[in-house]
Amino acid sequence: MRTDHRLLLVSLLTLFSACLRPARERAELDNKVGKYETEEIKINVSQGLAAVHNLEKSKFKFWLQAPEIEFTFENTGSVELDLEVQLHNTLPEIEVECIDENIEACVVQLENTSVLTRKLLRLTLPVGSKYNLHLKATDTSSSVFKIALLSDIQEELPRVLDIINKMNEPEDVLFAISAGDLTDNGIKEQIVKFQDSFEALNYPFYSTPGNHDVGMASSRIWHEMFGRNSFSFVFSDTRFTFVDSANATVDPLVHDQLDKWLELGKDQVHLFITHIPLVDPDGFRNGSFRSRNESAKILSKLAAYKVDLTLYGHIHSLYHYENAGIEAYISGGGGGWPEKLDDIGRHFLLITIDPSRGIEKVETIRVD
Amino acid sequence: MKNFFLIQLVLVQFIFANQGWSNKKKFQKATKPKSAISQKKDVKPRVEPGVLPLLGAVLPGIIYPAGHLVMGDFSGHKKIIAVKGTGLLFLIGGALPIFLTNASPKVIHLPVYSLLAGFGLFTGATLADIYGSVFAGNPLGKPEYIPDSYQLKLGHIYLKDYHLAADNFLMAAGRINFGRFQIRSTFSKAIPHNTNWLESRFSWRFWGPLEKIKTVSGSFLDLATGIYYKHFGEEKFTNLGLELLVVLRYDLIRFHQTLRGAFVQYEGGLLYRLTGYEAVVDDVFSDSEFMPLSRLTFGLYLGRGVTRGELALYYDHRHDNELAGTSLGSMGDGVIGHFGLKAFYYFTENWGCGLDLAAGSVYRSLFSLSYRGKK
Repeated sequence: MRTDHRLLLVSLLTLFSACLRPARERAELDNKVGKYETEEIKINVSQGLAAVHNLEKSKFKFWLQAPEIEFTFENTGSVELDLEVQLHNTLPEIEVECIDENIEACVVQLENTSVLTRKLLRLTLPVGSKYNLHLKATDTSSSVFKIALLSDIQEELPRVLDIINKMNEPEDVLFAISAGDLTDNGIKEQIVKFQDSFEALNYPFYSTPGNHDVGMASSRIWHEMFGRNSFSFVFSDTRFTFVDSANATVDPLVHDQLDKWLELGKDQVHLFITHIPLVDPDGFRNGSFRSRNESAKILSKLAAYKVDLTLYGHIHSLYHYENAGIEAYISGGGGGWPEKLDDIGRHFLLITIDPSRGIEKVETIRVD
Repeated sequence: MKNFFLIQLVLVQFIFANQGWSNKKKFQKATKPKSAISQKKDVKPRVEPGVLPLLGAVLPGIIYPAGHLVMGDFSGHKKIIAVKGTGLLFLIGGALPIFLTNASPKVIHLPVYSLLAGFGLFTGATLADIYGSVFAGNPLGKPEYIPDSYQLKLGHIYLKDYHLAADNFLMAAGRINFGRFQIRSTFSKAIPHNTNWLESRFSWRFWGPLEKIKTVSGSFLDLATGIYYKHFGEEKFTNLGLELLVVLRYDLIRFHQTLRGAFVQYEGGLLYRLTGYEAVVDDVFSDSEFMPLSRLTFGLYLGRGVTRGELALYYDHRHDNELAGTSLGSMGDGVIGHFGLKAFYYFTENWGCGLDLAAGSVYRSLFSLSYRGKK
């Protein structure tokens, strides 16, 4: 009987705690992304910027969440390993280099596939060896670059192909980013459908989840299929920080990570991407964080570290405004249940970035 | 648009008063305020209040409150169902334009108030049915027909919060009445942080008990304006809020005899909030927004004579304070506001204490000691 009472108490405390920290499980799962370990092999992707899957004995699949990543393979077994790694969601033009001490021994092959954003990496890993590899963009001659932003596809996923075609029209876009709601309710079939559909896109697509992606489905599906919910990467001296706000709050663990990313990005052009707007231009609809004080706390940090651009989704329209003096866009143009009376419709943004000067231009590309 | 709650109550009374029901005579007796108060025997339940009526009120209660039906109080049952239905109409009337336009800012403002009023009526009807099923004819207390002139309060606030550095506050509050005019102020200081909140509200009583005017019930209608200044030292931002609202309390004895000793209260209006950040030196306040205010309370009076108090459940839609919105780990997290249970009791003519427990984006407990007096 006493045990029952304890169980009840623990259950109640867990329930109460879940209400205060609904995104806790996802924040904890983030720290497990990019790691794979058996008796034979140890794999580690720096900063967890790729989800690692073992397909069969020496075949792996990486789902990348950044254009350039570093990763390590270590043979901890007693036989030499011939590895084949499918790299998904890569830049179309990439190369791999060993950043190992015994660089001569490190021989890797990178092959193109029929899909522009999918590559095949082959390497032989002798017993006891450890290779540090750097996957990086081939062409970095131009410092000014362009990215696309598309969010809130949701139930329109089956009809997303015309948006993808429109996104493929400009030739100089390097990659796409998203503030989430890629699917209607985040079940595995929908995420597989999303990943399959976006193989038609000529460049990779990086996203944090929206409330539709994780609100109903298990946190483990996003974790398994994409990797991290909150992450940050640097490309061409520009930092992109994706923060999981799918429950209209940011978990304290992610707040701590955000502090580090802001510190690291203080001298870089910095874009902050999250699903739920920190400020909704119309306070009546509560399309922003559950607590305005938490929003203000985050905005206070973003302003202190001079973040250049805040990008949001969730509201299925287009708004351009400022929060805490930082330029902000809400762009939920992926097709999901559109806001009426706004004359916006499906759209995506093209953002031109000059790492030496900041955000150069933000253009709205209408699909309909 | 802030008066939806009042309008619907008037509407319900109007429907009943205009013979909307077949048992016209019974109803008229029960709804006329003074006669309802004086003619207690009119609506005598056939079944004693207790477990069976309570089950009837609770089990199907969310959809169809049946507590009064089980008691055999058909008049009370019909009134409660009418309020429930009115609430549903307001809910649908508010939800439909929001749903059809996916919350377009061009149409959302009035529907939000309608939705909240509908929610208040819909849930309030069930709470009233539960209350009547348990306490019919034997209320726990009576309202205060002549309020005190001033009140001083000292308290402690504890926040279970993962985002703000401050979790313990000392609170000092005061309230004073000058005829129909009332001023109340609250100052909360975080210990040991540099987080300080000052809130004031000025209200004018249009109707209801005053310090020198005794009324037949505790019902009142106030028009109020408020201002707050909240500085968050560790988080380095400051909020300034300006409010305009109506506060309506309605003693349910005016509605039906079995609800003697219970009341509903609606505080609704508009908030204009400004936020300034230490890191933004160009603007004192960089961000601003209008937000709806809506607090729905169902309460009951405790005690009689000198020692008395109140116990109330409430829903508050405001998202700008420390409690803000609730997350339940769903797709709609953050939209709904917070919930609370509030009680105070005066043990002597002058001394009392209060407790307010609430859950939203944080958990909050507020314990206070009060001193009140008459000028």
